[in-house]
Amino acid sequence: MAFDIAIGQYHHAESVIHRLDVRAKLTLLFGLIATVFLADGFIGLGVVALFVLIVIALSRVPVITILKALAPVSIFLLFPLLFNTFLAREGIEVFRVGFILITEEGLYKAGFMTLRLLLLFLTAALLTLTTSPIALCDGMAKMLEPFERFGVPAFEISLMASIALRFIPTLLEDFDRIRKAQQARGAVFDSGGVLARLRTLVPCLVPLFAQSFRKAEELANAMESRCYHGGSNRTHYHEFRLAWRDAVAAGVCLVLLLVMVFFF
Amino acid sequence: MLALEGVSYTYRSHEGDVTALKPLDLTIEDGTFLGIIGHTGSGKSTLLQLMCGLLSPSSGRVVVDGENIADKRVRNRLHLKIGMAFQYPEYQLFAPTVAEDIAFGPRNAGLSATEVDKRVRLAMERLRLGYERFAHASPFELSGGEKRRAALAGVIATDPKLLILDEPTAGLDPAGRSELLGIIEEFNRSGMTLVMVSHSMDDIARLANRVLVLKDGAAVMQGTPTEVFGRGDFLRSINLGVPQATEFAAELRAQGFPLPEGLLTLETLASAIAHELESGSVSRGI
Repeated sequence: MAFDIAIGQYHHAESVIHRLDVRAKLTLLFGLIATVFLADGFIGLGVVALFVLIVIALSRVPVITILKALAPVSIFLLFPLLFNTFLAREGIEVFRVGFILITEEGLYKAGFMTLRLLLLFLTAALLTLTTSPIALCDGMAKMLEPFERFGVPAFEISLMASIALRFIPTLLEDFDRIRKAQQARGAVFDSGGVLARLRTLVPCLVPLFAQSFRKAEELANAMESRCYHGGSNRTHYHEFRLAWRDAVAAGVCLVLLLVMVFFF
Repeated sequence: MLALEGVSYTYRSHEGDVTALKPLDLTIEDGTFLGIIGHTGSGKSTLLQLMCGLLSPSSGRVVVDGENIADKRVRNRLHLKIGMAFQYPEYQLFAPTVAEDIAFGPRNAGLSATEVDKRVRLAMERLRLGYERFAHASPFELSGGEKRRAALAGVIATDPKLLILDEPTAGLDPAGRSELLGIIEEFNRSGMTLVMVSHSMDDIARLANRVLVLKDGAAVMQGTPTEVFGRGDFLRSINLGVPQATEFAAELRAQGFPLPEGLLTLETLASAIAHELESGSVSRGI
């Protein structure tokens, strides 16, 4: 019924960032993370921030959506901000009341660390906002492919991950129905202590497991009856093709990295 | 007695508000067998969940024996009065043995161990599950039909006055179907009020004494089976049908074979045809 669950936080839009090859995006992400750590001053971070803002503008993801995506991790921004502001003991004194001492050094560090973390979160959020979970899975598997000759089961990993993603909404729906069925038999889920609540979950979780085993078997049968198999000759519905824009993205990223190494 | 007074249900989705059920007035007197028909998405399952308090109405109120179930104290005891079986109820089985699973409801009601045991035995008897054979078996070892009956035993173990069934015979073989329908008929005869959703017009015609037709979240028809299935053209216009016997009678009538209206089951159809043939008014031409 009314199941409105966003897995990850993918925001669909038509943009050049959305169209980038997943592998290019992953490379870009790692490149950006490296530049964030290489920058050792506000000017360096400013350059990275400018770049991130340009990517945000290109991605056509509304600012409010990005803020919402950051909300759950914002608590981690608060820690370095408060710790650095109030716990720094060296540097020029700015403000002192009783045992509270705020120094210039502390403020500088607080601002720097917070901005750095914010940029890290932003780039990671940008990846998941502009890439569907399935595409992300496929892309990572594709990047693992060269390692197949060393025994890494890239194809199986990708298949498992995409099936798991596919079944999350199904399992949630099943869980909701089972929960309601047990509620109709008088099960109460919202009272009692932690242990009591955990115990009330048993009548829901056992059927859920039974059902997911049954579904897994059905799926396996359906795949086998269609002669599905993995291996090197298998083609994909979504082909990965690098385009000029992926090269541009990688190039821009490289330039940024070099600029960061030599100038800041 | 269960009464719905102007009950509607709206839920929020990413495409805005969706009305699953438009304001509905419905009274179910004790002892009634109400059949609900309608397509997938017509609001049947929403209506059932509103009746047993699993969903709270967006407007209106649901009253059971004079008490509004919006009251939490009333709702917490509601499962003693109203039993609800979803589609494929065997997917709710969880306990190591059939008896323990059936005991879940009575135990939640806080009954004593001896009382729980009594209820379990009674429920198993009503579902035609031999105690010796099934009580200590794992529910996962049973056949499809047995699982279904074990799950339903778990629903009626609290001895509800009203039982709500969503497609109780879905996925059963013909033998399992007719056995289960027989059991359901017995429930009603012993005084239990029943609400049953079914896609089988034949089952509804055979069992129900009231029929509610839902379309796009609105009740488009309410009445006795004879009244509802008497309007075959309307039912067909909303892509629902009439019982096979009614259909067959209508075709015979169109060919000039005189038959009365309101033939809903194969038995009444057969005897009406036999009666007509014996009385000799039809001599030739068919």
